[in-house]
Amino acid sequence: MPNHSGQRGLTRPKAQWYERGGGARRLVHDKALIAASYPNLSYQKAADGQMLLVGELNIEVNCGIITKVPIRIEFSADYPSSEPCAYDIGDQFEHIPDRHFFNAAGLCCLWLYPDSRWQPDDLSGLANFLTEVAVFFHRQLIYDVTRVWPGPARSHGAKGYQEFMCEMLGGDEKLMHSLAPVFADVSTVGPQSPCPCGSGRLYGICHHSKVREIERRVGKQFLVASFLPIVDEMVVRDNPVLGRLLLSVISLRMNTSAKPHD
Amino acid sequence: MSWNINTSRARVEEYIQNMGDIYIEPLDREANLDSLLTPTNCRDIYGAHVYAQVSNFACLASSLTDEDEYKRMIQALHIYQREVARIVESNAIFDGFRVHFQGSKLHALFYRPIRNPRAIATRAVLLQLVLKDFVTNVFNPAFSIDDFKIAGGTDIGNAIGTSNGIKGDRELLFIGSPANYAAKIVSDDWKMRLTERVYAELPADLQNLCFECGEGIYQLIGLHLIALNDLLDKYGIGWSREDSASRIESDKASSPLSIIKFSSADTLIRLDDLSIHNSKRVEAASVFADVSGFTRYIDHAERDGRVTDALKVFHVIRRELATVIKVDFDGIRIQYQGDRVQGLLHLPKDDQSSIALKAVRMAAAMQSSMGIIKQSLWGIQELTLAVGVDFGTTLVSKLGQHAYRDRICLGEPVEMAARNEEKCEGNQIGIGSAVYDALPKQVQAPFTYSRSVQCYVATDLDAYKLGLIEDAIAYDHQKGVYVQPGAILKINSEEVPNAQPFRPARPYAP
Repeated sequence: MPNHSGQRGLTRPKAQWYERGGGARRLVHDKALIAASYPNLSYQKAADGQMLLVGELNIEVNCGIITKVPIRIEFSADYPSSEPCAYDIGDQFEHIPDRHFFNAAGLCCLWLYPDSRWQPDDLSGLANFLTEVAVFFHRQLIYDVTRVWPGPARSHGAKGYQEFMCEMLGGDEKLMHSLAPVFADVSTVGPQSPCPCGSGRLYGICHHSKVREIERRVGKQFLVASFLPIVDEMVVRDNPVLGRLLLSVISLRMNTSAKPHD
Repeated sequence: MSWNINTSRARVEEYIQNMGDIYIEPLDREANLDSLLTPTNCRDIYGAHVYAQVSNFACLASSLTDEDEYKRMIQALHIYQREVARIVESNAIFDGFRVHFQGSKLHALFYRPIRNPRAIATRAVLLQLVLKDFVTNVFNPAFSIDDFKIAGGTDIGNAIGTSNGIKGDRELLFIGSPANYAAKIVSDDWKMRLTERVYAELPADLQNLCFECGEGIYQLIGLHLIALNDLLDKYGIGWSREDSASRIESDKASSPLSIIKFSSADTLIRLDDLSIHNSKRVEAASVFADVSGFTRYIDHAERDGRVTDALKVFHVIRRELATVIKVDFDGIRIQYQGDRVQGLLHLPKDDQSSIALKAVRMAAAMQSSMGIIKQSLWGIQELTLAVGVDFGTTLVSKLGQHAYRDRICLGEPVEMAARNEEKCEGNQIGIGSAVYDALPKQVQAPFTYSRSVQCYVATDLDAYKLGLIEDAIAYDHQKGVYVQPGAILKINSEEVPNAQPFRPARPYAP
């Protein structure tokens, strides 16, 4: 099942999450939470056993006008380890990337996956998630009026991931570019090698741990995909022959190393 | 304090429920209009409506900085209004009816002798000639602070007289084309104008003083004193320059500069407290809201025999717009001017940005209220609201005759706000650059400069849209919003009780 950034969750186990001990208790807790805070939403079970939360958000803006937004929340097979997904199931908003919809079905891209605020053990996690969804639709209402997304948003596509990684590197875009071949997996750098950042220090004591942390948060597949355009630009600009060779290697790796993100 | 759809809807329903039946009868005998007319007891009055404006006052009220000069301007305005009111209303002079002053613009009505178009038109036109002569040859020599000039307009026909119905604060309102059109033909080139309908009723000697200056519009030529006096004698108008000059000197003696006081205002101005002894000079936003197409709507209603319904609509709109000004935005409802409402916002003191934003919010709220009224009353889909706004130095006072002191709200921003409203079409809000420049850029966005209107114009901007635009500011500044979950999920950029602050994540898209 795709999450907000389009990645895939774990293979669904045979027993549904809500049939297991911890999951069952979480469902009871979440149901009470929903009844108190979002009484217009109700739990439903899909034909395949997937748990859904379906209903309307009645969003009232400051002048008292209420907009009804029909939504569907899909719970991942390993909920609450993985976050739920929110769908706009009405026809008020055009499901386009500029409105931060993942697809025509209305999957809401609430955040870039590594930015996720989801905390599996947080018992108010679902309420917080729904507040995020409500505010996402409040911003849709603003977009209707201004045609501009209100407030900060990640750039679309690979650039969104690059922004995240640049922030992880303290906003140093030059550093990010110097590490791009490592991120894109076209350059293997050992801990005892000089760090690609050009500091003169060993990679193992310079940026190795930061690169590993970024890999862990973003996932290797998305890291490679995100940095492919940068490496592409760099090598094609500097050495077209080598560039074409490297790109074919990257392409081959991309196709063979794509694994579900954990 | 802001506009809310539920509150507005409840108010409109209450106005409709509590209005009572409206009666409109022809005015067929002389009566005291001040006591006769109420919101439900109305009269169909055949008469000539005269508007006469000395626009120098507005300019002076905004530009004079010297305290003594400002006092002299207030004194001049006070005495001008007193004398003009006497000229209009004195039995020995014109025996007309002074409706009110709109700033320095006189609105007078001639309806006596009843159903005597020629006598009524004659008096209306002669009043214009007298006022022109008075300003040029009596008032200007008496007050050397400026070269005052006057422009005017007159139309004749049937208009419905009614009132706002507020005890102690009664304002008479005239709805219909002559009251509307007479004001529209007042030019800014210091001419006295009349409509073809007035011209057609004039005796030949007065017709000879007119020439056609536009389609259906005539202009009066200037007259030498001897010719004017001959006409006044002929038609029994007992005015003379000497008498006016004498009364002005007497007024000067009774209203010396030493008693004239003005100040700024830290708290909401109470109009009843104002007088020549206590005027206010404030940095304020003026707002005019006018129902576009109302005169045409009334004309159609008369044709279809449903004028009382139309008048009900008028009173509902009038009351709701005034309530938006007073209650929703803590402003001052200065005046009703026919189907137009004038409001003023002057707090927080000298805070141009806050006042400008509040004025735009109020304008948008008026548009929303108009939408509510259109949902609540049948057959008024054609009616729309045009709103004009501007900001600057404004004089607020109550001046003129002791028993009938008029609310005065005077200044260039007042004139510009009125002009912006007049130039805008229905569903539009026109704002001057002083307002536009003081707005946050997100609120500026729906406004575009219109060369034809010569101000910034937003179309279809209402309280809902403006509220969301302001919420966008909170997101853009990364301040977040306040969220109150529940069956109704309240999301607001301003802090509200029981709501939790929430800063959303940055969304993404593939």
